[in-house]
Amino acid sequence: MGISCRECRVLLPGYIQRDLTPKQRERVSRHLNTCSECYAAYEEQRVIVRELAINLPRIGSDHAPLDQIRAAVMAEIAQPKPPRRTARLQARYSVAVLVLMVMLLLPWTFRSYAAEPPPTQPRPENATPSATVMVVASATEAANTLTATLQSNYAPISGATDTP
Amino acid sequence: MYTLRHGRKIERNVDDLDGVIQRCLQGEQSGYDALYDEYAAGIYRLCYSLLLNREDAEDVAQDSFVYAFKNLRRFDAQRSSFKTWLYTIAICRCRNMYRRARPTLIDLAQLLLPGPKTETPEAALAQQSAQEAVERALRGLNPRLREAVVLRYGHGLTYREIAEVMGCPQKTAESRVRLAHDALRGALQAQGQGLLEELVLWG
Repeated sequence: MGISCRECRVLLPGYIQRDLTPKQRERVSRHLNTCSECYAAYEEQRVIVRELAINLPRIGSDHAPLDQIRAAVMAEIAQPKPPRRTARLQARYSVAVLVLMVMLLLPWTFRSYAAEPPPTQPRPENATPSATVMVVASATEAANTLTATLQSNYAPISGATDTP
Repeated sequence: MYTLRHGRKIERNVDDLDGVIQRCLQGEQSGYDALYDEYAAGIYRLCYSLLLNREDAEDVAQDSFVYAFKNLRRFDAQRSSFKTWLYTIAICRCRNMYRRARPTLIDLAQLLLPGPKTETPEAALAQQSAQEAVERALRGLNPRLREAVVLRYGHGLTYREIAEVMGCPQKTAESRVRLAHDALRGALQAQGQGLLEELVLWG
């Protein structure tokens, strides 16, 4: 079975680079024999692939400062790694300091809350409602009446004195 | 000069590579030197082809080797080859470098210093202009497509290896190479056939 032009174009890079399976390769070859447009695309891609294959490996190869990089790499790997124990201790100390700071700050925070006076209800000045005055007046009057009644009924036992 | 053949030679002989890594793990300098000699040129070329800037390529190549050497214990030969592991480290660092998006500086050294000596001035000129055309074309490519095409044609990796290094499925690697082809076609067509013929003629 033949392949479409689209399929052929997809397979072309692999065909040029000999990456296809024998079966795929055969199908592409058969298509290229019959389709002049795909054959033109194949020719064009072959030129590009050749150009890339020649030039890409050259890019960067003429000025590679390999000795300089080697010296830097070897110097860097020769440096001893910082021991892990130190890092662990540092982490532990950091946590301890954090906890200590929180413990020191907490009482101070509570104290500042406690020192603040509780909110009081606002009391307007010279605000004496007339009803209150009336209640107070009637209560005073009743108390006076009661005292007078009690005093009139007061009869101390004979011979009783205030002194023990 | 370091060639792919060198890289393949050491990869094929796994015992050698294991031995070299063991020497490194025991702290022997000769082990590190052997690994560096084997892969340094490839890694620098990879970094330069992706970043197209000498200073960045140098920094990334150095950083990649330092990381690899310091983390050699993490390398698992069962999961990947040493080459693809090293390439993966370098590609990750190159990607970090693209993100920083440093402005492109004119490389004075490249302008002032003479290029490599070749047989004739004409051949040198042809080679130089072809190389510049490819560099220009690479510069215009999307970074992912650039990675795919550089790994494929600049380093001869298979699609499976490209997928491993780029962290994508093999089909994606294949389609990236194909898309890079399409993108490069326009950029290189201007130089095109004439340039290639010139190269073949003089080279």
